[in-house]
Amino acid sequence: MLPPATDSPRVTTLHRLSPTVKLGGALLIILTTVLLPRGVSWAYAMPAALVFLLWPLSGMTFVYIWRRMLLAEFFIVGFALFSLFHEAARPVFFSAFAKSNICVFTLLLLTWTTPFHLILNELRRWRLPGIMVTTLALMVRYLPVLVEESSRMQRARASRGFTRRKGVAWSNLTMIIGQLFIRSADRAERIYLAMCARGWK
Amino acid sequence: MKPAVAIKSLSYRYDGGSPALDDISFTVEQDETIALLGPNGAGKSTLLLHFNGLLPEKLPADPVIWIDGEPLAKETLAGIRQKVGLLFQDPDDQLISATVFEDVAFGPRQLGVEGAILRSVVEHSLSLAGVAGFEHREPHRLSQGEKRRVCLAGVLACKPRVLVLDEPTSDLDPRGRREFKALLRSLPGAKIIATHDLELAVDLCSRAVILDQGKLVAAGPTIPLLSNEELMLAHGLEKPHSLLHRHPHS
Repeated sequence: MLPPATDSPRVTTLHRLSPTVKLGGALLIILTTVLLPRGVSWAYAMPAALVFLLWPLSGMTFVYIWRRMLLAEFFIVGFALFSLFHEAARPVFFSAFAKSNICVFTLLLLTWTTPFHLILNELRRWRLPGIMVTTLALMVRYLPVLVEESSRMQRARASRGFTRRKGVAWSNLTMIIGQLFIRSADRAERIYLAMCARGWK
Repeated sequence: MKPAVAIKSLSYRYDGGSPALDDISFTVEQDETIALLGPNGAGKSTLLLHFNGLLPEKLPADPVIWIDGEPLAKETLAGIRQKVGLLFQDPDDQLISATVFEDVAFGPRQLGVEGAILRSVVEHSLSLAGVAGFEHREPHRLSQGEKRRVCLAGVLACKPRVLVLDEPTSDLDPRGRREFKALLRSLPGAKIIATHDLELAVDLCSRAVILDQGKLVAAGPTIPLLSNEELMLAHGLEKPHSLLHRHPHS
């Protein structure tokens, strides 16, 4: 699976920076990028150059970026392509594509250099609504559990002769997603009870 | 001295279902450990949720459960949840945070504990549970036994008077089971342990309560009760191996 928080093996200059600076910096870059004018503009080179300069300082591996950017690209390109359907919206294609890529890259830098629980602590310190921080924390905590559950289900199906044949693979996947959804709903209820048992209000 | 837990005529049914619990009454004395036994679907887990006020959804006007002499009611719910520490069957349901520290700190934080006191409570609880130094570990990277211990630390951090444990050894290997049993033995306070592990009941519990189809069918000192092969077989249980060649009154 793609680890949600940092799995970076070594400590670099950026790792040693305080989470406040890193989260603040990342949000500033994202905000600046989002506010840049639409259309093709050299202004995009500024935040792009900044994140590319920070990359070597973070020690982030190419494989880490490649796998995650590829996943994000699916949505970024898909979304940007919508703008090509209307003549008036065509200039937006470049800006939507550039803005999304710079923002995703910035977040990759942040999650590579800052453990997720430190980001959450920072958000808590910044007085982000508690329910929002808890939701984020639960999402990150239960991603590996979901992945583990889905691979157990896939193994169980494989042991009963399911193969990745065309067509069957898709129906197999949809069945697993459906089952995961039901199991997640059940688990969510048990998690809620466990939280209440420890005084959650 | 008031009993640690008292239940009087507790009944419960899930929406549209048959009775999950039917007229259950028993008490647990201070520092006593009792086993809650019964086949699958007997109502053990449902009963455990009642001790913490998680069931029923709407607490009855006339209390049916008392913890340390205090009735379980809407007004006392928060205090009782602190007094009763509930360990769930699946550690993954209980470990909700990104790090062990955050998870153990969850309960005390709800009570308003922060800063240096919080850190010391977390360290102390982890050390009680035998996982000192695990603060920065991520829950999903722990072994099943370690997860159990961290869950227990999270419960102990709220300083409960009564520990309620749902199948605490169900997914542990023999060594993990032995170590977890020793850990439970070392903890003070009353304990209610719902389990299929009958050897654990023999080792740790002075009394046992048997539930079947939501009814309390037998209660008494563990060894004589579990030595009654006829009773055990009638309720989907069996005489523990350690009692096969042991006199029931020894």
